[in-house]
Amino acid sequence: MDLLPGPTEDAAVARVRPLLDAHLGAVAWGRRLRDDEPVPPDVIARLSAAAGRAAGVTDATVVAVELGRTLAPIEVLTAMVAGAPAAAAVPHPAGGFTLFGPHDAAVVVVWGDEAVGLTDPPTTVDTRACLDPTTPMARATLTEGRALDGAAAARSRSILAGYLAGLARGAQDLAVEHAKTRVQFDRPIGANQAVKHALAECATRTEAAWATVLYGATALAEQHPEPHFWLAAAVRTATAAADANARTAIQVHGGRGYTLECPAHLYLARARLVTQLLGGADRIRAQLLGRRADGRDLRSGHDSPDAGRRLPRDR
Amino acid sequence: MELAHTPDDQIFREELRGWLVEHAPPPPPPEVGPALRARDVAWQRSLFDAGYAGITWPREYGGRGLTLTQQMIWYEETARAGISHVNSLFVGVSHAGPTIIACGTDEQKARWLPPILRGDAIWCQGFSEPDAGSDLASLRTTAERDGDDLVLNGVKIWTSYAQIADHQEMLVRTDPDAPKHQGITWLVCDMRQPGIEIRPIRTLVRESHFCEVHYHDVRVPIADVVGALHDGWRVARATLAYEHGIANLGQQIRMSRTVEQIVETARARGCDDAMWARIADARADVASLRAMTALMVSRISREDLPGPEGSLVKLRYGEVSQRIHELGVDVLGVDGLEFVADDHALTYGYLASLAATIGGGTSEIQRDIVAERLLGLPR
Repeated sequence: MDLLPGPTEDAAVARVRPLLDAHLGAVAWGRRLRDDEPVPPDVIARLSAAAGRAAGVTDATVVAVELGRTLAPIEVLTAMVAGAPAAAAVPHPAGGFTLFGPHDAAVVVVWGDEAVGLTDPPTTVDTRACLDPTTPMARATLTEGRALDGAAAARSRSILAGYLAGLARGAQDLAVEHAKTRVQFDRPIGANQAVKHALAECATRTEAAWATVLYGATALAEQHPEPHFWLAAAVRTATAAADANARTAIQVHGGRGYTLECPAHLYLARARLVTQLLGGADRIRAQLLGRRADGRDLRSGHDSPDAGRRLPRDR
Repeated sequence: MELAHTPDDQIFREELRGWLVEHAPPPPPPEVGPALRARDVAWQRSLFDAGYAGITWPREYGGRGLTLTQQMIWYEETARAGISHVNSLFVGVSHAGPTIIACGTDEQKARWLPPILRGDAIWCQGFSEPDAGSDLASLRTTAERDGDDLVLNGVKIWTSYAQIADHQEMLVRTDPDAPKHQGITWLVCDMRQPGIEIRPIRTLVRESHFCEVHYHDVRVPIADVVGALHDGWRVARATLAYEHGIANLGQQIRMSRTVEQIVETARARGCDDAMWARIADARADVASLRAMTALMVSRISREDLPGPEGSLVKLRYGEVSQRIHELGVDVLGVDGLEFVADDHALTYGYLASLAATIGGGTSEIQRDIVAERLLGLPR
């Protein structure tokens, strides 16, 4: 047993890290938010190609952690599922879909509850402003697509869990850096226990998310007993970590954390967005309760409802 | 990245699981006394005779010289069999033993290690004092040189199972003039000698394994100092890293059983969606702890020594333990007020979980360690 990334995962990370560090650091995000400047298309293309080379579940998940840490745009994340930069969509309860990322992408990755599908570009698009100011959003109509097989669908969810764990880490890094350099009362604010303990809590959540995401990806790769339970645990732990760490990052930045150009709020909005791609907190909890080795719903002892009942299709 | 165990690991697991069916010990008696000691030493002896004691310890001292993964399997399988790892053997097996392996002389290892594994000796710990809790290095129990002996005077507290122990691992002040971290010595005190007075402390779960221990001119030979004189803080850090590290593994694994116990209780009694949401989170929480433990074992296997990451697991363990046990008594409703003096009962677990953020270094101290040593924040 060895849960740490090995040579395959390290090599996959090494392919994306230089691009991420050069173009997607906190300073670069600050500038982009201030000047409303998009990530250059060639950077997205090169990043998507590099990330897309991670074809397995463990290497792809570890790469996704790096993407989350540096707030890589949603179309780079979806490229790991679709093979090329793509938009992401989820079914809307009132019908149709909500679309995130470039509306003109050649492919849309649709995340249902468990099933995941690929479709053509939307037939109708009704643009909306997103909580995340760097991600285009729209209500859209999609044509029926093709569903990924179970293993590919699970891999795509593990990638999203990895991205959330990365968001948790990135928000933590941003807050820690600020706590070391921001001086008040003649000392760095991070010398105060109220601040350092909040950051220690971030580190604990990040470690929990990282460990569970690694465990879930490895369980999927090896078809370890109950891989879907472990995947759900990874999703839940990473969701909670990303959300709480982003809120801590905003708070630790004080007034600056409330400004548009401080990237802390991007971590929060992106965490909420990816959580919705995964079905939202209630659906994630249902998976944790419903996934036992015998397939029975823990609440009632009866069979779980059909996991694939919300396959993406036109409504 | 791999979870799969080697064929050797699989065989180890299956043989141990089979052995436990026949050899699981009886539950411990409620009072700390001769019956508890007899039960614990018999259990340790039977582990030793079957080759299940000292999994990672060196072979020359009676250990098996196996891997940390196999130690983890040992914790998993014994927890699965419902056996608590918190007993009077804990300090010797998980604390003093590993410290002596790391810092003791060959003579000390030969003298102390085999009896720990055979169940011939019970050890207890004397680190904390009434005025030295989180600020452990401010301890004031003195040890003055007198010929080949040190003469001890002072008070220790939170000493588990002092009533039935043979030896005590202790931190004492040997140089009162040195800076507080530098005048401390780690030594082994014989508990069966005059001048030692043991006062049990009743805890809020109504048992008395904790004691306050008073020392009046108690003699310890210089030969029983581990590491150099005045170098005890360094020795203790090895011990504490171990405690924060894998020594709590068994309790973490046991908690997943508690969550399933809560699920069964909730199904039997019925509960609302808000409670089921908490149960779902509890399942994820306990899974995350298990994953953190596996990650830590992976790190230690590569790097050999437990690092400050152990504090992350301890912090998470304390928080999750309290959340899960609170959920347990909430699911029980009014029956959650009924105290049952059995450590498998949810109400007992609820009260006992209150110690999870205090014992072995409070969560506040763990957060300082994480912030300063892992994140690099200023002191």
